[in-house]
Amino acid sequence: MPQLINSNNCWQIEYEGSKKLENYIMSSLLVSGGICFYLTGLSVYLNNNLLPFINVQDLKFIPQGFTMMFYGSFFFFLGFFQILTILLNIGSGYIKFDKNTNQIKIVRKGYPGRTKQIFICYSIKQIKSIKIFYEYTTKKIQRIFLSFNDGREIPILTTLDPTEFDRSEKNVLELCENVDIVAEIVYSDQNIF
Amino acid sequence: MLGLSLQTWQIHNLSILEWIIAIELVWRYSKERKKKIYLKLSSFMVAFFISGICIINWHYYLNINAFIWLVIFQSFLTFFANTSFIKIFN
Repeated sequence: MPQLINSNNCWQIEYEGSKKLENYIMSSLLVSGGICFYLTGLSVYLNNNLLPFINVQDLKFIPQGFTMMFYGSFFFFLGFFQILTILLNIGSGYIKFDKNTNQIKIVRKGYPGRTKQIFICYSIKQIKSIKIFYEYTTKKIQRIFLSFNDGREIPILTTLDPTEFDRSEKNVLELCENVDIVAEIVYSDQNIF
Repeated sequence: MLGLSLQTWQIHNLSILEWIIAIELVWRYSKERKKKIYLKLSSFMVAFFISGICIINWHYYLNINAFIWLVIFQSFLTFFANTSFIKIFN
């Protein structure tokens, strides 16, 4: 879970990227399921049971076998793409509020190509406020945005655990007090409960 | 080629579609009236939806014996959702 950390007039949030346990589990499930689907469809086409635990002699290639091969290849490539995303650790990086130079630096990792490394630097004067947004729909969510003078908003932190709300709010308020930014606490008017 | 006749396929698919619309309507009603019990109701209606998808897939693959686990999974989901209804409304 990313947190706001303070060290000698620099406040920093580290983003962990896509190297998470749930992504590993999802991508391995997708790849193995996709390969099994593809082999089942292929065994329908060849009239020969490639997988020992499944008997598909009664099925025809069109439409059943074709559907299996289509979804199998789709799941396989989706899982392969997700594995590549995990290996490259897309989304990891940090955002840093520096009081000594009055700057905000955002460094994130993107997909290979033009946006391989995203590096954005703002002056603190450009920022109108830091917005803490509470949303109580079916889940309690706290979102923290950077709100600019020209109306843009950049999400910097999303907390899903309600026991962490107080601490992150306190940290953000402390940051705003030290760096001279207005803090804004907004409760969503679409709360249902 | 397909296990069921065209009319049977139509009624199966339309009931699934109708169930999705019913889930959405119950969700909107719960948002409108601000009652959490209907929210839970609509969440457990998703279990019935998944069980319907399972059984339609089994029919699509000509009711063969290799995919009999789909039927078992469907009956388990229906049992789970029905018992959870007793828990919700008590």
